[in-house]
Amino acid sequence: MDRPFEDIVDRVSQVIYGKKKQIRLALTCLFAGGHLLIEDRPGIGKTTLAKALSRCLGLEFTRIQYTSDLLPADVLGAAVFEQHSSSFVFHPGPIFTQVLLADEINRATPKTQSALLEAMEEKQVTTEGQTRPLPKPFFVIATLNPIEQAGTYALPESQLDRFLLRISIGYPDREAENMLLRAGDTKDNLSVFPPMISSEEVTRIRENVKQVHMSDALLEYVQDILDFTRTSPHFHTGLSPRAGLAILRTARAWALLDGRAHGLPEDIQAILPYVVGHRLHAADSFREYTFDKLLGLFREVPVP
Amino acid sequence: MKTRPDRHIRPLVAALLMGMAPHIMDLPLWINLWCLGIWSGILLIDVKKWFLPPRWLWLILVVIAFTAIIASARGRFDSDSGIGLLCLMASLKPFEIKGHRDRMITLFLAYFMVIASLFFSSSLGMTVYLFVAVLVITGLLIRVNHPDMGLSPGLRLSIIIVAQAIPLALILFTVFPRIQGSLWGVQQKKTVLTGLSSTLYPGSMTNLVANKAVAFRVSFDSKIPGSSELYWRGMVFQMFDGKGWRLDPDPALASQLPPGESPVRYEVILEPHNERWMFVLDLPATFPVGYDLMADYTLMAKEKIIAKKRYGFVSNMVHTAGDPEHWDNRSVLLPLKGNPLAQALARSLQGEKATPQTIVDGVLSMIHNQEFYYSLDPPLLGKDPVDDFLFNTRSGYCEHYASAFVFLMRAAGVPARIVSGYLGGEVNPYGNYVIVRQSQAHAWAEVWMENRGWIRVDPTAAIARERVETGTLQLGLGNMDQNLVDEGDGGFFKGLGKNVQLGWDALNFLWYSKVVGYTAQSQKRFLERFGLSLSTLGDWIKIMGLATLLMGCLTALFYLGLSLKHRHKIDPVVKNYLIFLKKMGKIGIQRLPHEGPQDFAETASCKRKDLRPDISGITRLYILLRYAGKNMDKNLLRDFKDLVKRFRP
Repeated sequence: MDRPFEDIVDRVSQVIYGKKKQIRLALTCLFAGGHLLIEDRPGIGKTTLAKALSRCLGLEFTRIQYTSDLLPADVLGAAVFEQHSSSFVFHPGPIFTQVLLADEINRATPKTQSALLEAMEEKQVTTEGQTRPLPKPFFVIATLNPIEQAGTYALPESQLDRFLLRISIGYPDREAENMLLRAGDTKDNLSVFPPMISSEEVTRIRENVKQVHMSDALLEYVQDILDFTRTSPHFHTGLSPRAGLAILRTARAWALLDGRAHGLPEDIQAILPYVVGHRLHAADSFREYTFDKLLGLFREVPVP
Repeated sequence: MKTRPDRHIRPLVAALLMGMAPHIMDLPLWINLWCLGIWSGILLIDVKKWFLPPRWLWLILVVIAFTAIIASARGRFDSDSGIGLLCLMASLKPFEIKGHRDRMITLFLAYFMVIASLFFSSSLGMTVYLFVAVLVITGLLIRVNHPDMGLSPGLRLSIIIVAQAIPLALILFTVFPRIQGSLWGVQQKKTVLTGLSSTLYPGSMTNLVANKAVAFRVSFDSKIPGSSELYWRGMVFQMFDGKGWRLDPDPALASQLPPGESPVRYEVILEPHNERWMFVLDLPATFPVGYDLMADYTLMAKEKIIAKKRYGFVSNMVHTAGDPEHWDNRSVLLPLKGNPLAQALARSLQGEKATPQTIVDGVLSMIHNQEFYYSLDPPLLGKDPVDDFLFNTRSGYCEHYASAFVFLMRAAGVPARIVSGYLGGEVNPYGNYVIVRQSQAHAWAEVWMENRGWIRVDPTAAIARERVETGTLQLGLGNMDQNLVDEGDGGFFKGLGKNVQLGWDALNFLWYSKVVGYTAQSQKRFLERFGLSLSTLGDWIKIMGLATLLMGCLTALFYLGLSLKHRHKIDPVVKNYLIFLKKMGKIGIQRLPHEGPQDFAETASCKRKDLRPDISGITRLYILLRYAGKNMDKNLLRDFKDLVKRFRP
């Protein structure tokens, strides 16, 4: 069967060369109803990816650059006194959008970080005693700069857990770089991107993801994986039940993206490092495992 | 705080209704109305999404229920009041259901109410209902615990669970020590009992004529004797008061058995009649155990029979000469006054050459040759009933004939007495046993003859056939074949109804003789057949140990079967895929443990391009069966097995 969303992936590839897997993962994360964390240096194309995705899916897009002096009200919005009406009127912050790019989230103070993270979890914003729902769908792409650590506030594990997937885009390969250099800055192309599906369709696809059949054998596989992280000496702490649900949810979306109505062990293997990478730490050093090391470790779990 | 009814209120009320249903006939009307009213109230509250009434109202209802039940019991708190109280409290239970524990208690209450109906009846019909009720309540129990399971899968599961319990129940039934007597001294429900009465007046038996109720049922160890030989002896009347006959107020026990031959063994299940007498065939051939054999060869229970009674007995069908029990003076006693014409007739029969035999023959031939009629609706008799009957009305039922005959015999100096009981019986072709109904009540005579003893004479049988009113032939004359022919003439549906009735009767008979009648004695007999004696406590312990072992084995078998079934369930798909992997392994292509089916198919196909179609075909079906939820698709499984079988790398 054809991959039903491959045209979207192709279109986004026109601005980010040679990163189809990352585009597909971002789309998976969006369809699974989770939020995406991108850990990469500046200038790699994070903003371009977010913008291109939101345009293709017909979603509203906003970007916040996180800095150390950013306040929660700058993200959520605040009530402002208007003289002509003599009343406080709520001015919604940049968070009231469908796709939010939170750039360098670790630069902001924990207070501002958690303002965003709470909104992510609850899909609503409460300020001055009033609760306002966020638009649907609501999708956050947060980025972290892994290199510069000075003046940053690292996200605690519990907050990292809120992100369904963590990916890094990485440098383009030689061929893609060549194309990039030839084409020049591709940002201008973005403005002529027509939406390929509507935001209503995105909501519908999210419902479809929930219908993807995960057989008992597959659930057993996920359980084996969870058990493995809990009993293996390689990991400091095992995966939480929430992580297990995240694996299933992502695998469902991945299977749908692959044009299937049922999951396979391969789906789980494909998304596993991205789902658990930021949730697991080495037992000895408490560092995160590298992608390849993680892949190798999970090969110890046989497919039932 | 305002609360709504529990979310499982409907199945719970349904379970309570199942529990109450068997008691409806035994409970007073007000309790029935109360329960139904309260339950429909709470269902209405649930449907309309109202709140439950406040707690104080509920408490008031509890107090009212208690007071009412105490008032209606009138100081006599028996099982009836207990059941009434149980139902009343059960009716209020739905108000206080809050959590899972309450739901479970309510369901177990329903089970208890169902079981409590065994206090009153252990009939087959009730047992069938109990089974159904237990099935339904178990289904509701499953529903409350697994609300997402559908109603019919839940019921199916309940049937499976109850079926699995049956072997254990059978073991417990056969082996567990039988407690004699009714449970906790609870009597079976008293009903209006009909049957023979302890006096015999002309017309006293005719009220039984139309009574089709069963008196008792008999199964024979050998061939069933002809119906005209089935004289079921119940009572012997010795005392005549000028009009009717009374029982001997002070009967003596038999010291010896009457001589006889051609014994038959049979077993009687007697319906309760609230009297002591039991029925045996003429004439007893053994001394019974647990009952009294009287000097007039009737059988008496030690106490009044208020529940179905099962007893085995042996009788001799042929009476041989001689009788150890001699007649006493009472067998010739008659009042001095009254019935002068009959007295005169008797005297005329006494002659020089007259023997008891000639006197008997004389009277019988008079009945046969003169205008005597057999009637179910005889005219009333006057002050001298024997005279009136013999010379005036000449129409009567068996007791008229027996009474007149014995009167004449005694007046002629021949010792005589009346025996009452039943004659004949209807053979149930479905169970090969005899049903004796109240309508077959009969009275006959016995006369004493020197050297021969007590001889049975049935004066009713001497009536000429043409003078027997049509349609009454079976009554008192007990012709079984005639009986069936008469009943069978009523068309197809009547015949069908009769057959259904007989079939149901046969099932009930089996139920009572094999299940309800499984007493300590039958248990002993049954176990002795397997070489297990039951005399000492040690024997009992041994048998209980054996039963425990047997049940343990059954449980182990059950778990074994469960695990086998479980293994079998995932088998076919995985097994065949493993076969496929084995075949691939033979050509040097091993699947890595972490490789998914698609990845493996890809790597394998790259190594052996020629096998690509086969590998992808098998993999496609394997994925459909194992991962796409198509594991129930029989055709797909067959195709998959086929592909794997034909795969020759």
